Amino acid sequence: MKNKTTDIVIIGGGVIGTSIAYELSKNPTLSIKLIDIKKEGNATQASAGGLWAIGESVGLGCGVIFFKTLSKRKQETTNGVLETQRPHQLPPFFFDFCLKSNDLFPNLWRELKEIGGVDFKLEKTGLKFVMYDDDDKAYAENIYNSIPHLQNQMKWMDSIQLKEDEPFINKNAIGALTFLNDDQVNPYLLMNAFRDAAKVQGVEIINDEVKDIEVNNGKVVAVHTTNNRISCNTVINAAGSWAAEISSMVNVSLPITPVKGQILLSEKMPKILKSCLSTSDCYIAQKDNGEILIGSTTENKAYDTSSSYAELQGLASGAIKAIPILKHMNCKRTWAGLRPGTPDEVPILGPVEGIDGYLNACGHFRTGILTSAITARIINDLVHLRKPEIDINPFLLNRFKDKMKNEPELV
Amino acid sequence: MKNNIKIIGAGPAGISAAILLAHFSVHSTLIDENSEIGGAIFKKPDKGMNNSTFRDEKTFIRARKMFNEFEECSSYIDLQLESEVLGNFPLTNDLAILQKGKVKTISDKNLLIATGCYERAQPFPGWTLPGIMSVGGIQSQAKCGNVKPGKRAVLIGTGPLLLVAAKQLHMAGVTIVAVLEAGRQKDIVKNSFNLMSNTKLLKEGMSYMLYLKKHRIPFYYGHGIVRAIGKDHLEEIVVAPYDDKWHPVKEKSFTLKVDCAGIQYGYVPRIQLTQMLNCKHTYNLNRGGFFPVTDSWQRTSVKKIYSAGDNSGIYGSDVAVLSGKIAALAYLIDISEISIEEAEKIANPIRKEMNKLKKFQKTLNDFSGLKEGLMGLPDQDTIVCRCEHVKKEIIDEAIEVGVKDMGALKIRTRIGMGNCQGKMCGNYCNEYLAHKLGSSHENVGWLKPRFPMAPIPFDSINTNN
Ligand SMILES: Cc1cc2nc3c(=O)[nH]c(=O)nc-3n(C[C@H](O)[C@H](O)[C@H](O)COP(=O)(O)OP(=O)(O)OC[C@H]3O[C@@H](n4cnc5c(N)ncnc54)[C@H](O)[C@@H]3O)c2cc1C
Ligand SMILES: Cc1cc2nc3c(=O)[nH]c(=O)nc-3n(C[C@H](O)[C@H](O)[C@H](O)COP(=O)(O)OP(=O)(O)OC[C@H]3O[C@@H](n4cnc5c(N)ncnc54)[C@H](O)[C@@H]3O)c2cc1C
Repeated sequence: MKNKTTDIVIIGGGVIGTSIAYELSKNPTLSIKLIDIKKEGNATQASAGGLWAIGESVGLGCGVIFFKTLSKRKQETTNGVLETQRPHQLPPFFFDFCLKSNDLFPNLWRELKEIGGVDFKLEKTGLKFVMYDDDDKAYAENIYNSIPHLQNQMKWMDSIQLKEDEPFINKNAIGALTFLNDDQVNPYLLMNAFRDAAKVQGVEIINDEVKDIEVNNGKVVAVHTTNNRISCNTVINAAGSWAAEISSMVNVSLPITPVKGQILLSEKMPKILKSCLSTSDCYIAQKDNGEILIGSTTENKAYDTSSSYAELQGLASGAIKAIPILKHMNCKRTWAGLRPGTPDEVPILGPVEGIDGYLNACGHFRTGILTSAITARIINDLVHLRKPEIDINPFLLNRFKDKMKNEPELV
Repeated sequence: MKNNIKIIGAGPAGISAAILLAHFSVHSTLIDENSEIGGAIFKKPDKGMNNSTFRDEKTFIRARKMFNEFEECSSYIDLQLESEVLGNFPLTNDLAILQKGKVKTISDKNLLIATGCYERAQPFPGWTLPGIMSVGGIQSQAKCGNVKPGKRAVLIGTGPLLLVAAKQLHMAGVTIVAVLEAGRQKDIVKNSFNLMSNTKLLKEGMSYMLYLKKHRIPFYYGHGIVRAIGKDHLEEIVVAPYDDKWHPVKEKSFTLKVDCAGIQYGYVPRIQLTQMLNCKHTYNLNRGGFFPVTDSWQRTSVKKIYSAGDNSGIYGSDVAVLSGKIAALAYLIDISEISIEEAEKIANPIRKEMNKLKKFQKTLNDFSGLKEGLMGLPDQDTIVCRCEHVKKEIIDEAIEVGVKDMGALKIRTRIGMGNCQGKMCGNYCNEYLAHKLGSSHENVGWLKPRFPMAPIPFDSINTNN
């Protein structure tokens, strides 16, 4: 037994590693090991848990803070003039990737609950972009008009409809654009659910740190952990913000860097929000147990995961503006997590030229919870040498090839 | 102000440090969340309350003396009451403080952490019933004298505070049905020689015992809690003799009819701040579990951060006073206000006294140190984490599927995700996990505290008008 070669070793047990473990475990002939040690700031435990397929693709949710909306920028430019800007949108293939993943969740919820017993709290909420002024409205109209094929998943609300739907929202809000299918889950329960179901189906979970990957003649042969050498045929790099460390073990450099995001959490409260909210300051999501979660910043602070006052003040003030009664509610905790960021905000998936038995499954930046489901299916197809249901090309590492020559700082 | 050390906690340790510094004309800022100085033991009951019971205590005389000295030094001490330190922001080197409903920041340099301790929460079946309190909780009600905690009380646990509280409650007119001490008489007799090292405290203890005797309050050695019973409120307490390891001998259990119970199994240093400030910590169950490592001058592993009093490991209020002075001396050395030789001269007698007291305390700990039987008290359906209603069986399940540390246990079960951030259940869970896994307490780890250490209104960090 001791020397038996494992078919697949997955490095990293966040939402991505566990979702892949689960998907692969459907094939009972594969032997699979998942190696994970929880590092400070791992993204899944810090996440908000939004399944904001359209919202994130058009730059709302976490994206808002990344590329501040027009009105926000205008406030901040001294002369107030700024040419009308298009919202920061991701390419069409990314929409597809997100939407396909989102569609998988209802089934996944049933499956995982049945197999592993964990309920990851899938809630139909929708996501509302709350508008305070004409600039916000122009911004929302831009979004709406740029994705005509998805207009059946969006709905405009004027201030009266909004008040009816969400009575606790700022009375001065002029309306909202709702993304009807952008829902939410509990992110760490999703990870637990994947992991437990994978375990039931035979995946061995190893609590250890990967230290090295052994390569022989251009082919991966083993993974070295603090305690063991595990011989294997394939490794999958799902190490989140630490993915570049892992890839360097096979002499591959990945342009993945940690992007810090801070969160505030309220005490448990009665249900006051029907949907998740995104404004030009922050996003707000009331979780299934009544806690209200407020996020998030996007900061380049390396691996730092501390709370910082100015950023928390910004988020809290934005949330109070959206939901004035929050003023009198308590904040019970704040934290920060590290999104695995890539230069083009698109994950890095699949094989790398010149190294056999190595697959990337990393760089999920701000949508890894949402896209975990489709990522697992793509990787599963690749492992079984099938053509994935989504074109893999835009996700391959070699898309950076030319850029990496020109911009060595990315490497 | 050239030199300014911020002292967090105005208990015996923090006050004595501020006083010593003042004697050297060195300024300090003394910060405490309460509206009065004094800390857990010297704190005056809230204004307007009848404090006749309190006045009776010897501690009052000690407190009075300390408060008077403090008054004399007040020009050197910037006292900031009703100021709660909530954590730190390391990137900007700030400490966050809640004052008058707003969070403000001060520099995190030059800190003496003298935050004292909590009472350790001990889960057992029925422990969440109204009527069950910590001994400190029951005591403060007795001290106030306005509301009685109940008509018939029992005090259960270990350590001298049971006796103190029994007397205070009795004087406040509550019937004390019994006092049950888990430690065994033979262990105290065996070590009586060591106890002679502090005749003052020994006498104090004896006087409490005599008080119980005089008022025919039954006192049991080697007994402890089994469970509490009641519908909406405590009605009965089941107790039993404890064996060597404090496992209840259930065949010999008996029931007491009471409407309130004070339970006290140990103290826990309030180390959230030293944890957040990245000070190195060590573990010793007899000193309350984890506490920051300090050198012989109460310096922590982080430069210019000192720790004194029960925060640096439980030794009680007398040692707290002395360790506060040592920490103050360390600061004076570090800012070159006095020479090491000079400091040594002052420190020597303090250390001598401290060692004597520690020896006494150590003996008490041998008698009163928590034992593994306590870990078996909760039933499978006993709630361990009160904030998130996590039952013991959920913790066992988590261990079964491979959880090996507190971080994983939190993600798996939600323990510590509630309002108290695990102040209540953290210690029990650490002890239980280490025990079950045969792992060290350090390996099991702790629940990382984060800003804010206690809930704050969102408005306190709101910048809109
Ligand atoms: C504040 C915040 C809010 C977010 N909100 C959302 C949201 O609303 N919706 C959404 O879809 N996404 C959101 N995201 C993004 C999402 O959380 C991430 O994209 C996703 O969790 C990435 O998962 P992962 O498994 O790749 O990384 P991680 O969860 O970080 O997992 C990687 C794992 O690998 C482990 N590891 C690393 N190195 C080693 C090694 N050498 N050996 C063993 N193990 C190792 C790590 O410790 C970690 O456990 C948010 C992220 C943040 C920070
Ligand atoms: C409830 C209770 C009752 C006790 N009763 C007795 C008794 O009757 N007799 C006896 O001998 N011993 C008693 N003790 C033990 C005794 O408290 C200690 O030995 C002694 O008080 C330790 O002194 P200290 O200065 O280290 O801490 P403390 O006296 O506890 O002082 C610490 C102070 O710091 C404050 N503080 C802590 N954290 C923060 C923060 N983040 N921000 C602002 N302020 C903060 C606390 O409110 C407190 O006022 C009791 C302990 C407790 C917990």
